[in-house]
Amino acid sequence: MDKQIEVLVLDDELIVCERLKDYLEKKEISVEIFTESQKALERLKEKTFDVIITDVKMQAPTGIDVLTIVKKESYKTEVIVITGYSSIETLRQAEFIGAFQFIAKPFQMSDIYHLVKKAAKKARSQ
Amino acid sequence: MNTDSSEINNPSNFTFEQAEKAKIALLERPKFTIRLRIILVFLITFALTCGIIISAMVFISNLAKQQEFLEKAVDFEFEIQQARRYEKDYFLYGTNLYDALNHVHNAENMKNSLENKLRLIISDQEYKDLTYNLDQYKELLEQLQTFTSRSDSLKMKERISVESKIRSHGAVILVSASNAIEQERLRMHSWLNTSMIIAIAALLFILFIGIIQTTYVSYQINQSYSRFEEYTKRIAKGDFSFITPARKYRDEFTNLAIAINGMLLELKNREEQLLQSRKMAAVGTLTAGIAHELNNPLNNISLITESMIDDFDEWDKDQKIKMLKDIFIQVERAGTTVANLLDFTRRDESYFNQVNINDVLNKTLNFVANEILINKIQLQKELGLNLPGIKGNQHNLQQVFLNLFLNAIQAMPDGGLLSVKSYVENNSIRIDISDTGVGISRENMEKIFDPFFTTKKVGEGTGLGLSVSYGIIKQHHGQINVESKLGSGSLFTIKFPISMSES
Repeated sequence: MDKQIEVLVLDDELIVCERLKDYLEKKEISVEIFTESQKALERLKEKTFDVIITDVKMQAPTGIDVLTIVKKESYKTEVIVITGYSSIETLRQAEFIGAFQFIAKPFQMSDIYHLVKKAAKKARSQ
Repeated sequence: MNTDSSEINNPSNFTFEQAEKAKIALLERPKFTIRLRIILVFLITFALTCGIIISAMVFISNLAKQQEFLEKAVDFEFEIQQARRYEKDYFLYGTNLYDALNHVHNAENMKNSLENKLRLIISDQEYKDLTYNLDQYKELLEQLQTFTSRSDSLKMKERISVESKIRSHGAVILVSASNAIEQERLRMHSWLNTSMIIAIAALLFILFIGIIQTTYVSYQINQSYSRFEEYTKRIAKGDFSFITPARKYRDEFTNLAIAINGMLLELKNREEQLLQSRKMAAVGTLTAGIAHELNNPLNNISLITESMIDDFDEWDKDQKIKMLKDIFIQVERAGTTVANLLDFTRRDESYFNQVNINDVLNKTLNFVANEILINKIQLQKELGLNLPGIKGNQHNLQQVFLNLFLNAIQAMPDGGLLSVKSYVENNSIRIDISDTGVGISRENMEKIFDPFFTTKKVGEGTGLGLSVSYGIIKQHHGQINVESKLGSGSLFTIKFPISMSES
């Protein structure tokens, strides 16, 4: 890969953000973390990331809102959705809007890493 | 978790004790049954009737005696009249003197036998006069007899004086005899008149007593009936408090009250079961939130441990300790969620203690925090500071608010504003819960507290939430009211009396 993969992590759980940043940066991936979706959306206006990892349940705008906005604005970004618990409807909705993958908590960071790599590959190929 | 020492008070035992207390209070009153009252009323009426009949009999026998006396008095008068007739014959023809004397003797005997009665009718003086005149009359006639038997040469002059004396005495006797008869007749008449009045008065009196007694007994029965009608209405509305004595005496309705209390005990038990199943159903609705609440700390723990396994050797001691502390915090967080859940589903329905309504509201709001979040609902909380406590059951109250919050959230599928206020109003604590949801239609408004009434799809709502809430609020002597407008939202107002023990 020529260019470093750029990832944005959005979760209201600070530990999730910190751990993922730690882990992914070790794998030479650049990571920016946000615990508030509003701030993340502002950052997204300035910069295009390869992959966004977002939680679903958050104070509005929710993960689904973020997914919708991202998918509307940029084809070059893939979104991985993580969630503590979601109904089938939310899953289908996310899939319909165009989420790259859906991951249930608790997850393993190694899985996330592989997913990020796959997603980045897809994002860059477009 | 709240584990008060007062928890030893087993709820079902507590209810059972209340039922027993009510039963003892109902039974310890002196017995005075309606049957006994009716018998008593009958006996009183019977005694009165007996009294009237006996006095009527006495009166009739008196009347008979008077009649008898009157007849004798008439006989006496007749005897005197006869004597006077023969006396006249004697003076005219010199015959029948013996017959005259005979009649006078008869009259004297009669007078003696009637002496007691006569003394009642005529004055002593009159009686003495009568006796004197009769004696004189008799003596004079006897004197005439001696004259007759002696010779015919009775002096004309003497005979004339005797004759005039006899005539005057005889006349006086007749007058006083007829006088006595007349008086007795008048007495009988007045006696008859008085008795007639007394008879009518007695009749009216019995009628009056009868009306009073019947009214009293039927009033007592009707009053009990309407009281029990009220009880059934109250029970139908979900107020299951036991029936306590309302009157001084124990009667047939006491058994009914005891039977209803038995039924109430059963109903309470069932309500408890219903409440429990409602709680479980509510927990079902909250599954998403609970899963989220548990998965987040679990995920955090998982991530931290994964990092530690990978980087254990690279980290310094401080970093390791920070990570372990984080794990500890996350475990506590998950533990709290589970504890809250267990706390909520615990059964202790009948136990009441001092409750801070704001605590209950906050705890319940924590439960639905996730639902509020997901449904993009804005929460506006205005909880009054330093609110006095109320007497209540924390878990049941939590159930009420949970039902109302979940309903409000479900009424706002596209988001909205949920407002929760608590404040003091007229010796009670008032809680306003309003939403900007779909609202309740006018025809549904009357039915929302009915059991099994629901506007939700089959499987989504049991229609028991509000009816159970209503029952709980009634148990707390509270009130619940709804105002709603289709399309613009609903306002539920709940009032609980402020507990006196804390003021």
